[in-house]
Amino acid sequence: MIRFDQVSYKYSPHQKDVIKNLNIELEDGSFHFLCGASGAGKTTIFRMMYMDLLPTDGNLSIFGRQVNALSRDEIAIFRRKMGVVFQDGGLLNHLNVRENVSLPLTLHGKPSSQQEKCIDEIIDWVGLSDKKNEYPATLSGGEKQRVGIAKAVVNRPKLLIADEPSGNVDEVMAKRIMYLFTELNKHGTTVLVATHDKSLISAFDYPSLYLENGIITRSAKRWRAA
Amino acid sequence: MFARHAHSAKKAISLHKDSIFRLLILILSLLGWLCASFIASITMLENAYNSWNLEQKSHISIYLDADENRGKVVNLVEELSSVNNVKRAYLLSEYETADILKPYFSEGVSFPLPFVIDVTVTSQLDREYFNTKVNKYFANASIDDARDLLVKVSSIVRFSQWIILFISGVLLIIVAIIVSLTVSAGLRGKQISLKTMQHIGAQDKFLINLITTQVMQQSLIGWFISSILAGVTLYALLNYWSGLNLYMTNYVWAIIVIVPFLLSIVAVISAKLTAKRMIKSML
Ligand SMILES: Nc1ncnc2c1ncn2[C@@H]1O[C@H](COP(=O)(O)OP(=O)(O)OP(=O)(O)O)[C@@H](O)[C@H]1O
Ligand SMILES: [Mg+2]
Repeated sequence: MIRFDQVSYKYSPHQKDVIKNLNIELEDGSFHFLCGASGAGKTTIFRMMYMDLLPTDGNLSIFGRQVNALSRDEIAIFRRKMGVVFQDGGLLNHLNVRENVSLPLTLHGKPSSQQEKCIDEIIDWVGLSDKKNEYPATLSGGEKQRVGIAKAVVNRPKLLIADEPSGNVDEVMAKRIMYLFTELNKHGTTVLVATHDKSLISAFDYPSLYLENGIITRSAKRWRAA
Repeated sequence: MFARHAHSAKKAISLHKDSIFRLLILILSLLGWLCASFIASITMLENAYNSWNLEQKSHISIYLDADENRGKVVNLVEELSSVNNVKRAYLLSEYETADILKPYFSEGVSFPLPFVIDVTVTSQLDREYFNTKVNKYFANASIDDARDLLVKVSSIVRFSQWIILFISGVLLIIVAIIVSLTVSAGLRGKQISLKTMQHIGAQDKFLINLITTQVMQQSLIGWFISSILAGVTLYALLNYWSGLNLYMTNYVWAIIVIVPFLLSIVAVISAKLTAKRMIKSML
């Protein structure tokens, strides 16, 4: 599904590599945590995965295709198969909660009544059914993040990448979100979750990738706080 | 296909509530109004000049001394009437003659009046033949030939027409620049929304169309407003100076519609180009 092959990335030519010779392979239907200190490069890896950044060196293939060889339209079509939870929510401030969540379904026209139902269900699931018509400016950080999660999963993506989805929410909500991801994973979605939260990692039996100084230093079936 | 898309994604990249795009309507309306009124007025001046020109070319006045024999004068008038390409030869009455001369004499016209023959001709008239004919009767007749004057006036008019054409061109270019700067400033403010749409898989064409159609709608409003304003302005002018009616051709009305339309087209094209450039620069 996703293959990083000796991938390096630097933001500007005179800067040193933020990501250095990275090798990761995420199989179809797998579930991984991506751990690493702040500034380790997790968001950078995610941005390469949704093709917001292209590797400055090495090969990255997504859905079996080299990203450097994709046309702009192909990139757009690939993105429709992906759900991305942005660290800052990635919401549009002039759209209300429901409109933000339904946005990915509007590219193909007006959502069907079945999709409308699905939108309401997912908003319920993240606990925001009473804030459907609120605008992001009036939401708390955690609420925004939950809207972002609902938006990322609403079109049942083949690949879900979540950048700190539990960063601003309490433990109960964090677990709830993880169950949602688990549920999607059971239906075939490949999941990668970046997190600092060690208790969350230990509560779920999924392998973790540990990122340090731009290099994956540990890839264990199960990562536990020492 | 596109209309279906627009319904739901439109709000994400909605330009209608954006103050810069409201400004665009205002700019299009005002500049469209100014340009249309300016160019329409110029066209009316051109019409006025053309009709004056035509009148001058088709008239010859012959002045004869007051002490000439009236019968001989009448004979000349009759003979001139039968010359090829002369439509009409007419001896002015004393009143008409006095009327013509009045502007040149402040204390009324009291001396014996000269004879004035007004001849209406077509452009094919053989002037040589015409002049010898007149001189055969009255060797010292003064034949008022407007050609010299016309040549002089027309070269001045041509020159001012070039200047006006130049100013109109510069005006249109400035307007086009203002419109396209407005559009690109507005779109720059939409960058986050555009990026968000791209991240959920919106294709370039989809976003460009979304922007272009909205600018098109706003340009239509601007076109409508400026044409109406220019129409009202011209209508008011016509009511105030009814003499202008002579020079008010359908062509002038067409200009009022076409000039603001051109500006709207400029707005739409520059929106499309700017949107294209901006969207393609974002991954
Ligand atoms: N746009 C940018 N331009 C230049 N450098 C950047 C840019 N974005 C990130 N960096 C640098 O790249 C490194 C990795 O950043 P990244 O955002 O990927 O870290 P992260 O692991 O997501 O951190 P966090 O856990 O705090 O979100 C950091 O040192 C950061 O300063
Ligand atoms: Mg980050």
